[in-house]
Amino acid sequence: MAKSASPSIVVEQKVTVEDYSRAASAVRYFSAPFKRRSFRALIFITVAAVSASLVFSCRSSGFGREKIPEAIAIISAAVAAAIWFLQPPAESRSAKRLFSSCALMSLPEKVTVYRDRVVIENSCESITEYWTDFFACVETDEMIAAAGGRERFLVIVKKRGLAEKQLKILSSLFGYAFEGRIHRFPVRRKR
Amino acid sequence: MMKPVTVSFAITREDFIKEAEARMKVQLTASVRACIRICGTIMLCFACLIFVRKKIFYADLNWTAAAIMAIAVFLIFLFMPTLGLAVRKNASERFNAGSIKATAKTVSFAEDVVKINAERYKAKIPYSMFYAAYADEATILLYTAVNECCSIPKRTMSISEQEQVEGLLASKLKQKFKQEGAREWMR
Repeated sequence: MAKSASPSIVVEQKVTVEDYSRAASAVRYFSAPFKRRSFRALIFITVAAVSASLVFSCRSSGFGREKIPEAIAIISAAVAAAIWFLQPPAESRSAKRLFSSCALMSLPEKVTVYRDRVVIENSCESITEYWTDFFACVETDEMIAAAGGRERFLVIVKKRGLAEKQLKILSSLFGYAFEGRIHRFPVRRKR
Repeated sequence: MMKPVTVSFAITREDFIKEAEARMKVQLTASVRACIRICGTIMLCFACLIFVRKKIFYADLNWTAAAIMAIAVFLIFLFMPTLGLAVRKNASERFNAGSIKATAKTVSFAEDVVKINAERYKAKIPYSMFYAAYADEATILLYTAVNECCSIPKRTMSISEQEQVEGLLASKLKQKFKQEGAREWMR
């Protein structure tokens, strides 16, 4: 085990199902951009628009088969709407199911964040994860979540209860570990 | 007081392939496998009906019926072997590529808890906190969540130890413990 001489932050927390769901959603947003509802819905809206434009050309050329593009346009628009409205609750359900399947995740835990690793300890287990194994890190107003751990895929560090100085150290530790790969959620537009 | 069963091991290529097969069997439960076979059977009956009663349907449906029959035969007889082959090949490739990064572990099955000791993971988990467990002829899988599992190759245990561990899991986890073979049909 490495010496703990490097700066560290200790956070005592209890992750809830809502925390997990929000963290999973934020991480998914950045790690899988092609699975975003906006991207998927846009594909179907494009198909609907192309099909709708074919309806008029079919009518004007007198083919008499405008029913086919009409049907495609309606179905595509319906699928786009379904994706837009149903994907977020479905994703949230899936994250909640995953969290509720793991009794260990809901135990009160002590998270020690180092520059190179994180140690999660609760009454049943002690996990050491190295940041080099992680592929995504997202910072929100309430927490920092990193995805890709070997033993625990999603590591959540809640910011609640931390002093301003501790928050700064926490951000700098993650900034050092994920250099340029740490995202902010919700995305803030540059002015 | 029962003497704990303790095993120490590192995952080999064969172990990893057998673990992948076991995980596949957990996901494809007996009812899912039965559903696939029933779908295949219905499709086969439908294709046979087209061949026998051509006058009812269109005569030019011969090719369609043949295609349905081919799919049905695949679903009934070849789906599981093909899937197993794909899973084994994928697991073998992942292991050879070094992407699984498995470390040595010591697992101890005591009366009330399972102790796991690895380089990065130390745990003392009561049986009630496991999500599920599964055992087949080669592997024991201990699930702490839907997507988190610890596999223990049975080659590391003697026959009596295997029986002891399986008995313990069956008594402590009850319906959450699934075993390939007899128990699956008993449920």
